[in-house]
Amino acid sequence: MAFPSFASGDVLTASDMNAVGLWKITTMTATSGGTANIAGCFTSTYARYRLIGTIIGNSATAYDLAFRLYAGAGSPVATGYYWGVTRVDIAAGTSNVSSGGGLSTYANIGAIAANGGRAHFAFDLINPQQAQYTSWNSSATDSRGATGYGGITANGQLTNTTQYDSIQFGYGVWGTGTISNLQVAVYGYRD
Amino acid sequence: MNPTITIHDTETNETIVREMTDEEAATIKPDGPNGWDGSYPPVEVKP
Repeated sequence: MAFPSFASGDVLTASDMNAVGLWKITTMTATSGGTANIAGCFTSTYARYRLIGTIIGNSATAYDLAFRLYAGAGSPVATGYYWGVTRVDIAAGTSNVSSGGGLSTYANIGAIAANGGRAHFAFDLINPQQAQYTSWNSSATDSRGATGYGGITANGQLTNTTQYDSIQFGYGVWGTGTISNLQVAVYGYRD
Repeated sequence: MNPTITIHDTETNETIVREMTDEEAATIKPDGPNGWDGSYPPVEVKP
C-alpha cells in the first residue's frame, strides 16, 4: 500500500483515499459587511468540522469574534448558546474569564482584533448537521500584543438538536462592529 | 441603509455582498447586558 507516501505516477486507490482524514470543504474571504456567512458547508458527509481563519480588526475598539448557526433559508439561531472563555492578561499575568448563559445570542470563539491587527482562530465544530447538541472548542489569539490577552480558549454548546448546514460570523455582543477582512477555511474530519 | 452581509455559497464557490433585509438587520442589534457593547478596552500595562 502506497499510503501515506506516494511517488510520481502512483495510482491512487480507494483504500489510500479513504484513509485521508481531513478534507477541505470550502474557503471564504469577506472584505465588508456587518456579518459574513458560509452557506451549505455542513452536510451529512461529516459529523465533525475544523474551521481555521484570520480576522483583521477595523477599529480602535476590540471585539470577540463569534458565530451563529442556521439551516437553509432560515434565520441564524439567536439563543441557546452556552459558552465560556478564558484568557490571560499578558501585562498583569492574571486570568480573565467571561461566559454566555443559555440566553446568549451567539457562540464566542474568542479571537480579538483591533486597529488593523490580525487575530487567528482554529476551532472544531462538533455535530452541526447531526440531530444532537452542537459544540465547539476554540483556540484563538488577540491582535493587540502586549496590551491584550493570550492563551485564549473558548468552548461551548448550542443545546438543541436542530441540524444546521451553515454558519454566520459576527462580533459578540452581536451587532457591534463590522467585518472588513475575514478569511475562513472549512475542513471536514472523515471517520 | 441596512448593514451589508457577505454570503459564500459552498456549492457554487461564489461570494456575494448585499444589503441586509430589514428582517436580517433586526437580528443584529447590539444586545449586551446593561448596555455593554461587547468591546474590550486595552489592558492596562502595569509598571
